[in-house]
Amino acid sequence: MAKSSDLLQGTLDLLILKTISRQSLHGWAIAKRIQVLSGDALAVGQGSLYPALHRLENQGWIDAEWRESEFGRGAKFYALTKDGKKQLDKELKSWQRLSAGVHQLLQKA
Amino acid sequence: MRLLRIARHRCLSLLRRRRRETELDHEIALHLEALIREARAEGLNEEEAVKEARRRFGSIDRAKEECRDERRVNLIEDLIRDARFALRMLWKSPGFTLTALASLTLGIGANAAIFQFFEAVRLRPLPVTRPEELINIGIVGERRGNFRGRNGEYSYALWDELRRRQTSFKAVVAYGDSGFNLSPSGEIRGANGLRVSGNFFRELGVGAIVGRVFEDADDHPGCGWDAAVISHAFWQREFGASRDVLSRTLVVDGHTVPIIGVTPPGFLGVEVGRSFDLALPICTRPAAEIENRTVFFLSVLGRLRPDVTPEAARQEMRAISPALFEATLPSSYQPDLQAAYRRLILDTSPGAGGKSEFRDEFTAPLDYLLGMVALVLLLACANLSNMMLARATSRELEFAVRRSMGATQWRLVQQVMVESVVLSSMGAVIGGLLAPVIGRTLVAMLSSPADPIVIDFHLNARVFLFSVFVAGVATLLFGLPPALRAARAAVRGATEGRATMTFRRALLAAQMALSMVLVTAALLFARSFHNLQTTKPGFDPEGVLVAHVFLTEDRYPTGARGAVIDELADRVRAIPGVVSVARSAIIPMGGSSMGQDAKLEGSTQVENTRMSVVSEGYFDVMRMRLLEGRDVAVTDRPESAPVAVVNEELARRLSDGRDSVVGRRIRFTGSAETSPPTLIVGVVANSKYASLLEPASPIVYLSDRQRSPRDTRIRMVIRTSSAVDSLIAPVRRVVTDLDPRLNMRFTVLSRQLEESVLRERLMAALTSAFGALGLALALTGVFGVTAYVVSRRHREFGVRLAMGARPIDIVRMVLADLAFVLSLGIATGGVIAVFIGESAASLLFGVTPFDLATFAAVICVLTAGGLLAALGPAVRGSKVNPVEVLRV
Repeated sequence: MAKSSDLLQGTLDLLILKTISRQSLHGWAIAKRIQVLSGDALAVGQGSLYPALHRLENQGWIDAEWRESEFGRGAKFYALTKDGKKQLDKELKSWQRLSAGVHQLLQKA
Repeated sequence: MRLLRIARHRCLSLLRRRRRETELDHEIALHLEALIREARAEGLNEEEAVKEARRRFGSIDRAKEECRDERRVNLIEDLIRDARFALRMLWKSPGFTLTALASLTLGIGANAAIFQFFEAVRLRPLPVTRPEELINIGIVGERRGNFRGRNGEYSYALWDELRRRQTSFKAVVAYGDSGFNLSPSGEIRGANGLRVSGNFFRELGVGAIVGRVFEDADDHPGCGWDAAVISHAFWQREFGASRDVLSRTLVVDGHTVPIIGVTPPGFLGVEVGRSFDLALPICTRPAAEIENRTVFFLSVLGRLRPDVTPEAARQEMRAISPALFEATLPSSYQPDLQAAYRRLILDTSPGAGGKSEFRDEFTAPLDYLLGMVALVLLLACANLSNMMLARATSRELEFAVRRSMGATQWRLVQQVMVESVVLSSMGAVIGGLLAPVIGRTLVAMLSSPADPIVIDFHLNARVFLFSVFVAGVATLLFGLPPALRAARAAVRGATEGRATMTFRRALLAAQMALSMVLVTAALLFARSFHNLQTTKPGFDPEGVLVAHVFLTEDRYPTGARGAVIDELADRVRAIPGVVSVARSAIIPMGGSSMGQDAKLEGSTQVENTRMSVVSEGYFDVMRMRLLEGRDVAVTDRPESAPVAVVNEELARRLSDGRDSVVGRRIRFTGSAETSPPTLIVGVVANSKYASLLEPASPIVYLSDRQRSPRDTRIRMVIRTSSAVDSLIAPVRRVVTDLDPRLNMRFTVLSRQLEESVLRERLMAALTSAFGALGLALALTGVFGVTAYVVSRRHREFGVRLAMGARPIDIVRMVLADLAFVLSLGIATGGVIAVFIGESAASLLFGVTPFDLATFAAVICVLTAGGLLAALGPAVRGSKVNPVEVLRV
């Protein structure tokens, strides 16, 4: 099976990291917030969130913890780790560089 | 920190796979519920809400699948899963698994066993300090004249002189085999002994674990029997490894000797294949033998000086040889014998492995066995490969489905290889456990009481690595073809291509070739052994008991011996069942020999001949035909003229086939006792002297009433009409009645002869086993492949039958096809067999390697066997119902 393109995957990772940078959230909440904050622009299917979450956990950027949720049942809450915060800063910077570059290119062309 | 977290996460993923799955399910369920609620809030009804929720989420299965992909830890998890799967598959087909395991276990186990032998005998250095510094110092040259003994090249004089003159070695040590008798009286209790120089243990770096080992002071001329060092094994056997052993004594050859030390376990002496029970200093050897320059009983090892190369040492040895042999010249030698002695040279060879009679005898056979056992493994692998190919083909569907679900080609190959690795690992483990058992059985088969073989088998790095290597090669050989097939099948997804068919047939041809080699070798060795067994020794060994009685000098000085010997003979003759009694100084195939240079009086031609000293009636007991003249007689006394009987071969050589030698006189030119010329009174038929393998040797028999044998042992040969074993007790009684303190030993002559060809018997037995195994494997292969081919050509046969072919035509077709493959294989195998046979010629007795009869027999057996094995499947193929097959 082909994995989702690197660009999309990288962007999703960035979004997730940013979303939980302020507080830890569970899967549904993360999806909701991305949807709300991006204005429905990213409609890749909410299911693709979970592989991304697993991947980030594998890499050690985020940590998972079972907690009581507003649903009355337990849910897995994801939080940013210290390394994750560093990674987030790094990725933000590289994203800004990339978007600035593309913007410049599009202006000149 | 991050690494730790990652590691922990991955471990947990590995171990708690199921929990992760459940957690994920839970999460997704929660998410979906929330989505549904959202949709309902937007105004959709229950059913539509669910659909909308699903749509927004995307494919659930895909999400789960991708999560699983992310969770994949690494290769290890894959391999473990594959291994588990493989085990399950193997468990499901017990027939295949058992057959495969059996072949692998036998193949790998046999290889490991033979290699263990090889390693212990040829590769492993002696368990001494810095064995690479050791050098064997041997003597090369023509040995003539009066010589005696088994091993040992140095007389005491030679050893002493060498010690004084050499400079290349830090130290030289000497040692000699001895058999000791540990029982003070009655039947001998034998022990393997070593006579060693004082510095032997110290220079080799062998310390004592209890007490001490010899020092220089322990070995000086004229010492008494003051000290014995025993081996660890002996200490355990005899004294139960008790610590008070130092206060105990042993009775050795009638002398009471205190034990001064015990050597460590693992030190068995410096000769591979032998072990020693106790060691005594050289000086305990009878003074007469030490001073006699014609008694050769020592071997010498040297430890190189650090600044001297082996080559330099060898040069020095050669350089000092002339002076050395000049200084030790036996004065009793006649001039031409002296000249031969002076020409002897010292030569060196690497000593890290010590000297070994066992190794010398078994090097060639071991090489062959190693080769043959490798062939057997190849055959087993070929068979296995075919079997696994068949399995792979039947799993085509499975592979196709996996491929469509996303498995890569390499993944499939990996899975099949894992199956093979699992199989061969199991085979290797069991085979590895089996190997020492096989090895010890082989040693037991090769040992005999007269010549016990002791080899230290223990698992060491070399043997282990070898087993792993063998298992690895086997895995590649039988695992790769089906693995590649699986990969290719997945790509094509189609029926078996021509390539695989050809490969299978090639495999079959290879199997036939290997089988041809194995069976031919088996037949050659079996015939060789049969020849050996049926070789006429020149005398009749059945029903003969040999009784060795030791008349020690102190109690039976030379004068008194005659009376005792005659009394003993008379009493033994009186035992019921005894037909005849006689004596001889040399027992055929007994391990010792005597020789002399001889020439006819009046002639200048000198022949080196073997010698024995016999009593009257010896030829009668041994049923050797007297061709001319008479036997030695009671009337031949010490005072009368010395007489001798020569054998046919000696007579022929001395007289050049001209006139009879009876009545002529013979002179011995190599001896001290310039005895008067000896009269030849008779000629006896040829017989074997030292080995059944040798051609006829010239032998001269002197009378034992005229010439006293050098040692104190009488050897009586007793022919009985009843069972030989039943004679031992009565004879023992007779001896103890005569003198309760006499030592004695018994051997059954026919058994002694058997033991002398143990090596040949073993080769015959083993090669036969391998041959049979090879044949069985090859025929199984033929059966399997033919059955498979037939099943593939199902349709074709149906069509042919429908078009009018008779069943017999189908059978003929199948067999003809097979015959081509068979003949190719047999031809190839035949050529290889000839080559191998040529190089094994030295091991064969009375059989030429390119033996037409043997080859013809093997070809017939293989062809017939192959065709028969294929007949079953062929006939089944011809019984195809065309209607069934043609049904679309």
